Amino acid sequence: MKKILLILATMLFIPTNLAADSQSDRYNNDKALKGLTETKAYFDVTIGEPKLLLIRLQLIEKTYQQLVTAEVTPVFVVGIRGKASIFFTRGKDYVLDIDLPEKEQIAAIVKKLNALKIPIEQCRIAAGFEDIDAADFLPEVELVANGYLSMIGYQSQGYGFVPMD
Amino acid sequence: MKLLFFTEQVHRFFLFLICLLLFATTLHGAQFEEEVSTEEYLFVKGIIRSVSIENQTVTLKQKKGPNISFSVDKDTIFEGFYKLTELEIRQKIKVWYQPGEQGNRALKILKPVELGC
Repeated sequence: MKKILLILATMLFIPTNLAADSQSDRYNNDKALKGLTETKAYFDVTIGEPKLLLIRLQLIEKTYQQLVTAEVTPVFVVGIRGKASIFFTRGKDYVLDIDLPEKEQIAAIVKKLNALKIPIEQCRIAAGFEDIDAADFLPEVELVANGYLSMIGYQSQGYGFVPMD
Repeated sequence: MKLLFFTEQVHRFFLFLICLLLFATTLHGAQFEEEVSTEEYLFVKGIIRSVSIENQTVTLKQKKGPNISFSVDKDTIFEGFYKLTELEIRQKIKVWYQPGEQGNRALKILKPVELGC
């Protein structure tokens, strides 16, 4: 009886999985990426709701990987400002206890982005407004004097601007 | 001549009222200094952890310290908002309070303008 149930469950699982795979293969960004060998993007991350912030960062990582798969070299910069800033600090300070799980996951993604050589820039002005001590940021995060200057500068260098609010 | 004198008196009176108003405003503002704890009150700032309308309490998380809860009453001064229902989790606030046997009593709660930078 157990064997029959196991076989039935397997039979149900495989078609569902195949369906999901075929759906993801159906869609692409070929038109947008046509002729490109490299793309440059500046992600302006400001969102302060931790679950949404985590999803945004995961999407940045996913976007990077999809570009690599499409054989287009991604050149990314992630800019942090506003209420997002507190989630890029070390340890358990600055955030609520209920937000600590997301903060830990965000720190893990920061490590991954750092390993991919994606700079993460924290606006020093925003840090001041959020009352964050400069020394309390994650080691992978680089403080810049003014996030707006970075925004302007990178766009002037041809980076696409991707708001993440 | 009499009319001129009367007009001058009125001007002086209004000038006096304006000075009094400015002085009183300054005094009131000086009553609660930011970043300073005194014999009369303690000061703390942080983000809102929870708000209980039923219990009329606000709990704050300090940036590097433990949570602190305060009771709110009719004498608590609200600045930057009008009702407790306007306060939401994760908003920044500053609180001047008096510790007591039955807990901390908020004297003033200030919700700063969100700068969005």
